[in-house]
Amino acid sequence: MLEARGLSISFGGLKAVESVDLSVGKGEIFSLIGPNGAGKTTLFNLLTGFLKPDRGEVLFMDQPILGRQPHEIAGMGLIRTFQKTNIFAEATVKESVAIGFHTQRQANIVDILVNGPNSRAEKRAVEEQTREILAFTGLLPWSDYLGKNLPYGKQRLLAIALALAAKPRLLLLDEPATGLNPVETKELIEIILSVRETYGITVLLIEHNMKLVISISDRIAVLNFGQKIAEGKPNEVAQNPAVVEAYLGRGFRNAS
Amino acid sequence: MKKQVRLLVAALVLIGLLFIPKLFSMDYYMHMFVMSEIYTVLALSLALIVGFSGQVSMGHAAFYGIGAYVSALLSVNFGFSFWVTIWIAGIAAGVVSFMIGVLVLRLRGHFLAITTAFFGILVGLVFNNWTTLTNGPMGISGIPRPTPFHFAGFNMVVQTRAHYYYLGLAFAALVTFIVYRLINSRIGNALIAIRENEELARSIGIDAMAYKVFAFTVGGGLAGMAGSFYAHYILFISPVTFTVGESINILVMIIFGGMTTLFGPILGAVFLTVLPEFLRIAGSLRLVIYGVALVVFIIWMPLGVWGSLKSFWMGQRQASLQTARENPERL
Ligand SMILES: Nc1ncnc2c1ncn2[C@@H]1O[C@H](COP(=O)(O)OP(=O)(O)OP(=O)(O)O)[C@@H](O)[C@H]1O
Ligand SMILES: [Mg+2]
Repeated sequence: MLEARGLSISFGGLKAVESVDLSVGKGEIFSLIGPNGAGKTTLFNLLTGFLKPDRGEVLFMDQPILGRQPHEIAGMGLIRTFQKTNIFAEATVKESVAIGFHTQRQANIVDILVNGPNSRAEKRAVEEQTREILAFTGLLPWSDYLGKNLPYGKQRLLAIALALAAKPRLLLLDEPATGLNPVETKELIEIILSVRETYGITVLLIEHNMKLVISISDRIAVLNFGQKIAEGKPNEVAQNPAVVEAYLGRGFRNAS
Repeated sequence: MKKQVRLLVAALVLIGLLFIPKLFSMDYYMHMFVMSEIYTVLALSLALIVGFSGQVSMGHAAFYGIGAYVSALLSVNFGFSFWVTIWIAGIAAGVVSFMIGVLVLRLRGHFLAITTAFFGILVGLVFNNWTTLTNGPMGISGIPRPTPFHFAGFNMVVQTRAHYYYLGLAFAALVTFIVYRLINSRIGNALIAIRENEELARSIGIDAMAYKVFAFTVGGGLAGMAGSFYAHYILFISPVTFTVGESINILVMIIFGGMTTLFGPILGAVFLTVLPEFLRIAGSLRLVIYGVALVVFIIWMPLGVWGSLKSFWMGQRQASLQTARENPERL
């Protein structure tokens, strides 16, 4: 589904990502872990067109996507969330998720001006599907809240709901569990698992919460100083000496 | 249900507006109302750019001016009728707006504001100095009124202020309707997304640049049509009407009314066209009052009058939702 080869980028002298290969298969939940500053977020930015790599190539659904704009890549079904909480602060939850359906709406300008059949059908469909996604993520009771007025945990969920509205084939989640309490984390795990079950979406996950990672990942890759130092099934990776050393050497947020 | 109420209110307001010329027969008042209509179009078109897409433009009067000059020159030199030139003016202003948009909309915030202001100054220089075409600071006079208009057996002439008032009302209503449909469509959603968070908008597949350019083009085009209406109403145009000061004037209108709503720009346009006339009594103090009010608005009421009312109402609703959640038994 996603194939990256030899991806490299450096900022000044810092090699943030260095010759990374990555291959994520359809239907997988694939996790990317590594100490702070290892280059995980930078790798997401490279995959989604927010940064241009110095070297390397990326295939998504067998098509090269390097050099394309973020919105084009998103339109192909490669949707990412952000590590920082990134939402539409002044829009209501309902409106935000409705915005997410953008790429699936086609009504032309004439149709929009006369509020023709396409435009109306589209609006109804969006309303319906918005409800569905809000129900799926448990945000339905919060529909009419402004994004900025949501509690933190719900804001994180809103970002995921928005990404889901954009119809991902591959969903890239950047530390979705950061700052969530144990109950919310459990809800999140449920959501990620049923994203795959219900919608058949492949998931690439960056996460520091090891319990979460081990419990849901099919495969894990470990980055350290921009390089991939290990890859495999969760138990293999956890026992890999290079991985253990990387974490002992660098300290590890939320290591529990 | 809610929609029907809205339609009813809109219809009642429109009927009320139809009676205005019967109530205020004085030329002086009618002139203020016609200017309010022109400013309504200018404010709504600018709100599309600044309010809904979040791109600050300080050069809006340039498109207003381009429309006015194109329309005036075509009818004075080639005898084209207003009914033709208003469209050409809109298209011409739209095309220029498109080209400027492509060039400057990658800039943000202050840079964008300053660049668009410079563009406004540049267009002013052209009006002033390309004397062979624009007649320079002397302006263009002798612009013909709209030719009589035959439609479905009606023979409509545009002669008196009341005639212009009705024509302007139709124009402003049409533009309001267009903006209403745009902002309530997928296009409006995309614009709001870009205003709120461009990075996030791009991440869910919104081509931010294309939509910004679209809003800029449509806004500029509508301003051009307003310019044409102005030219064939005042029958004389000169560069002093289309300055950066005028751009700021339009900007103040939408800041005052609330630029992220449909009704806010209209309120701002009408109020700030009518109010300064009454403030004339205050003489030169007028500018001071104006300035202080503007600062107050930007600092304490960034949503404008209408926006603040709307957000107050939404806040109340959310507060009641909150209590309902915390005390489910009280539902
Ligand atoms: N735009 C940029 N310009 C300069 N340096 C950058 C930029 N983005 C990231 N970096 C640097 O690249 C390195 C990798 O950063 P990145 O954010 O990818 O790490 P990460 O693995 O996501 O870490 P964390 O777990 O803390 O989120 C860091 O040293 C960071 O400071
Ligand atoms: Mg990161």
